[in-house]
Amino acid sequence: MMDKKYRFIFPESNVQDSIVYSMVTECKIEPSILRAGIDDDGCGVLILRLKGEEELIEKALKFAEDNGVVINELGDHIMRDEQKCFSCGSCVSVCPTKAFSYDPETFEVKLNIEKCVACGSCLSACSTHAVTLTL
Amino acid sequence: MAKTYEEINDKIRKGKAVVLTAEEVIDLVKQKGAEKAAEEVDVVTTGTFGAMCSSGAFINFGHSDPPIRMTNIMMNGVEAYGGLAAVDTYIGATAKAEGRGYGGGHVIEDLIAGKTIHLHGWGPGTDCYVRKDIETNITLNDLNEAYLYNPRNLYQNYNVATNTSDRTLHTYMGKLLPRMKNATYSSAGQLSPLMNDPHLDTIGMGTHILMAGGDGYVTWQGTQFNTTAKEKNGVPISGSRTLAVIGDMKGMDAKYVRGLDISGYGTSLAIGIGVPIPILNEDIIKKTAISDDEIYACLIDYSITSKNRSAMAQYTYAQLRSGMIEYDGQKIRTSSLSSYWGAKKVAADLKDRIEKGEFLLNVPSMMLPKEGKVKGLEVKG
Repeated sequence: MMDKKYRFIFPESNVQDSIVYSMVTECKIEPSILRAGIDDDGCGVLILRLKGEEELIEKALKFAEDNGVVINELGDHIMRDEQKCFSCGSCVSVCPTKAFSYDPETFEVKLNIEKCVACGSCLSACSTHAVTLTL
Repeated sequence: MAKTYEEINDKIRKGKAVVLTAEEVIDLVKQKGAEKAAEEVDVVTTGTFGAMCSSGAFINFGHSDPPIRMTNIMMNGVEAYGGLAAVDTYIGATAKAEGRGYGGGHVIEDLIAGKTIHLHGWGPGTDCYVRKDIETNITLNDLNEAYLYNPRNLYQNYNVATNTSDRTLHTYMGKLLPRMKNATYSSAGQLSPLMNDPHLDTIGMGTHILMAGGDGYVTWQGTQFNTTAKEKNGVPISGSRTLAVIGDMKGMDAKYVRGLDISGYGTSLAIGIGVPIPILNEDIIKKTAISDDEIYACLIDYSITSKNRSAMAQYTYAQLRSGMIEYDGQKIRTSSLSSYWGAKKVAADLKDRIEKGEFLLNVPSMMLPKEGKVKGLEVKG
């Protein structure tokens, strides 16, 4: 069983095609779409979580790639500068997935990258510019 | 049993003082009672590490050859005050460089971190100060004097901010999501200096404090000093007393200083400050034993921009720190703007220094006012 998050970038040429629908029906996977939009350069961006058999997910990724989608696995997409961060926590209550949380003992702010869905809400909440999202 | 400052300082000098942080003292007083605890404990240390906008630095650059009387001064592109003597200035935390999130607070942080700052000064050119323009690079070591003088720090309690409107607000209380999705607060609660000596029985003019890891002193009541706030459990439930403080930048540690760029508001300075409370008697230790579940703050709707907005509800700091409060059946995520992690470190650092005999207490040379009221600004004429 695999559980990973990916960023799909759809080129302008096929931004209106139903690639995800075809991918889901073709490969029988169950994605959770975390974020979807079209950037001002005309490209589509989709952040999605894929959970399921490794074989099926690989098939789905290949299907999307064959249809012109550029795929990046999310892992180190959010970074925190430990020197700048002073654990105030202004990112904590704006984070919809609790990727940022206080350690209940020390009250140090912790970042759980696996929970981050790259929404970017923390970026403008952080007054020391300690967080960067590399998407 | 009453103790004197001299007796406490004697014990500190001998390395025998018993020092607890304002967190540690809570349990001790619960277990042993105030009377016994007051006999055992000599000093309780407090701490806070958060944004303190009313802060800034007095600086003397030294004279160039030929000399200049600077009337316009820029430090790394941030304007400093040109209305003092020739090479003196004051740079405020919220002064902001044009077009970027860098301000006086960042200049102060960079100086303390030992970084080089670009200085550009202009003057009228006079018979005694002939130079009209100077451009150079400076570090903290190059300066004759550099000390923070912060007219309003260490606010005794503050609001809890939320937003009932339909759009995100960017405020000095941080990012407030629409329809009360979150709420922010800023006091260090049970560790906050003025929560542990709520009526300033021990803190006064000349109180020796730990300011960004260096020596500092209380110099006056802070601006907007207010004693009229309602109290619960002996501490105010909204913004109340404040302190003006001074400290030598040359002794400060950059880990306790942060220039801030608060989105939609401007720049500021976060600084870690610790205040020791001498346990002179039982009453003083009782007050330091206050805990987060006894300290309340008021939820305020920041989408109302009028000064006369009323409190929507009250919550304890224990509730706020749990990460979730409830209002009218709605769950609201909470987080702090000041660093409780930092406050703990400041209080522990101060404790350590006192235990090692490196930090002595001062008898205040004058107590701060027992009464203070904040007036508004009327638009007249």
